[in-house]
Amino acid sequence: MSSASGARPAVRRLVPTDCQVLVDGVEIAARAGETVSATLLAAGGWTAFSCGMGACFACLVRIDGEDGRRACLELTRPGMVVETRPAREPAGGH
Amino acid sequence: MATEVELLIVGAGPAGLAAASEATRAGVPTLLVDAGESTGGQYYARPPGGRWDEGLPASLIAGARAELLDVRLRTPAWGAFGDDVALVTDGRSELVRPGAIIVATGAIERAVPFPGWDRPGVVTPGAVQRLLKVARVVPTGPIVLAGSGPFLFAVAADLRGAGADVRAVVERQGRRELVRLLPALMRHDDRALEALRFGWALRGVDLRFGAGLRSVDDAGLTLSDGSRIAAEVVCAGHGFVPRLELARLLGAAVTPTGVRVGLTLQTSRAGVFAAGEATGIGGAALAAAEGRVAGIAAARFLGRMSPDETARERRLLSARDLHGRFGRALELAYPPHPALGAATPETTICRCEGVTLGDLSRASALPFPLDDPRATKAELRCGMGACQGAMCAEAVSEAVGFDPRSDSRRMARARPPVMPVSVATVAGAYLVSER
Repeated sequence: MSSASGARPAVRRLVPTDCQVLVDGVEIAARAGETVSATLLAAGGWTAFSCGMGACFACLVRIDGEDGRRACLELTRPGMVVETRPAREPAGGH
Repeated sequence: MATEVELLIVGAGPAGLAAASEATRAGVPTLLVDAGESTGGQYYARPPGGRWDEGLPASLIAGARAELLDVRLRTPAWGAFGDDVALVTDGRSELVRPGAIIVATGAIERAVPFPGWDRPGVVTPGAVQRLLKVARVVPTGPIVLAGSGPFLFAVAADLRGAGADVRAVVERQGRRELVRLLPALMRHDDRALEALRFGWALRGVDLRFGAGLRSVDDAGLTLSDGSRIAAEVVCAGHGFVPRLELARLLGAAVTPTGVRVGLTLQTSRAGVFAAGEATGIGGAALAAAEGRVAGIAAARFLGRMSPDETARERRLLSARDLHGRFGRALELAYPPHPALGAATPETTICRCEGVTLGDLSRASALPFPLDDPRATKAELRCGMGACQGAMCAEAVSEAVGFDPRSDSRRMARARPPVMPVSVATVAGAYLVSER
């Protein structure tokens, strides 16, 4: 994950930012109501993100302490705390 | 106790919305649920937060009676238990017992593996389209869309319209094969206009036909003819596959290409109807037409309509036929890509569990081979991850020797939950059911 890593943003916004969120401990600008994936991609380079519609689970992150949230479906809220690490663990089983 | 509802519609895309409009028009109180943040499904995806009917085409929801319609968003159906369907809204479970149900669960993009398909920046066309439509962001780097199907051109046109740097669109089918679509386009002027609009939006873009996607690396993509195109973003799209989990849990007969339905979209189980992409891929117009028919059929099943077919119904059925014919023309023009794509032994097939094509080949060469998708699931965990096989089911079955598009044995058994839900959620549903 390269948010706040200085990588060129993977996406640019058509609507300006209006709030701040905390991604892996770094304050970054965001827009309330965009998806968390959009926030992450606008903050850094391309990251784990594949189907963009909740089917592939590649984009799992921890949001406000809750694991296993799909960044592509969750909407960004002011002050949200997003952790892209620890990496997702295999779900279920054994 | 489960909450009794007269009609439950799962999926608020074109099919579900049209079905809800028709059912409420007939006087049926209807609960319409969707996992997403807004109605409209993928086709009419738009920024969240508006009213349920805001920004939708008037024709799609014509006749809807809002006072009979309960629209619940962020509410996936994660299981079916006998007559009950388990819903969850923001972590809170609810069991509902519908008098009739319409499955309008839509489709997802077909995942076809190739070396590099799991790299950052390799996404589906639908993923960037949703970034644009819902989140209002556009990729900054050069984009190539590759694979097969008209959706590549639709998304490329949208991206270009938003100022993205679309370098190329690469279609696996040759121009000669696609000429077969011309007669169908001539009969469907709306689709012909759409094709012209894509062509206009993509003027100046490198359009290639008859070349497949072989691999993606740091610099860009390599095509099956050996040529390379530089790109930062690769949108790999190979058509769509229906979402069948809920229909299967409800006990409706399915084939890999869709829920089996009769003329009025009833499934093999009484009181269970299906509409839209879940019954076979055909596009939003067909989905809406099917939704209308299913809404009427469900209303009649519930005793809210007389058994006599009306002239209006005959018109709706013929609309369904018309759109269905275009769907079949598309199916013929764009046959599905081989499920294993250009995967090599090192290519990860099951991304959730990190299983490569080599792992699958070795397992199916054992003295007691894993020659069945259920065995691969048990032994290699393919399909046990968070996506529950949504991304790899076709490729896994082809790797162990089944034709994934015709042989329903490819399908490991559907089990609840069809999506990850917390133990607390499941326990909540259990407590509700015991009360």
